[in-house]
Amino acid sequence: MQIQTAKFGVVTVEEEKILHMPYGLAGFPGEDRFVILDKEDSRPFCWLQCVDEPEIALMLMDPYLFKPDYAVDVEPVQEEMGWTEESREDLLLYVVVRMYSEEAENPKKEAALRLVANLVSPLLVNAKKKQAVQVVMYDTHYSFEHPVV
Amino acid sequence: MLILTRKAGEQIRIGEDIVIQVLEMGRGVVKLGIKAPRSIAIHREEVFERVKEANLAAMEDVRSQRMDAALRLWKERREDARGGDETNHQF
Repeated sequence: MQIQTAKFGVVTVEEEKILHMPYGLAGFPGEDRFVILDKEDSRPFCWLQCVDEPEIALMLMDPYLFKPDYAVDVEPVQEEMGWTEESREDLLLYVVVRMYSEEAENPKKEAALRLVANLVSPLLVNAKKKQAVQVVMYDTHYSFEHPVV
Repeated sequence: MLILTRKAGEQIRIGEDIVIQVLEMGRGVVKLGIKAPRSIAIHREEVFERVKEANLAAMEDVRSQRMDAALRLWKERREDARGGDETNHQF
């Protein structure tokens, strides 16, 4: 099927790639159909694109590429989502990445680009069930802005 | 806002299928038990707000920033690290 995106124009995605997010995505009430756009030339980054709202897209990446010891307790999430027959290997984990320029202290200096990832609320994807959920960790030492580089 | 007074052990019912029970009261802290259908997400408000803000800011970045800058930053870092990364999805 074809979907409208603000970032990439019209893209064609296979119907079976569409992920349902039963709990939605915080900040975007009412949206529950998303797709992961993974283009070879932009790896390791990919996008979580909302199917029904072109402007909604978040940049994602595999957290283990920069944080090999990242630990997420997925069992309660599996329980909650009814993903009990899936093994951990069936689930994919992504983190939302932000890139922004930091205001330079010295106005003459060039603003430095920051690349950070939200390790508090990763995205857990069950490709088999075509579902995804944004996990929210409480009482965690992880940061909403963990440096990627 | 509706305001109710409850003792430890007492409950509040919201609609057909949500029940909130006061389990324990301590010094400045109250422990609640919540029964709700699976389709209802329950979050501590301040954490939910932060997740929401983080998502909205991330969307704004996608809108306003160029992708190639992120790729360039990543490649520079990889060159510095000289292949010390691994890809896997082990939790």
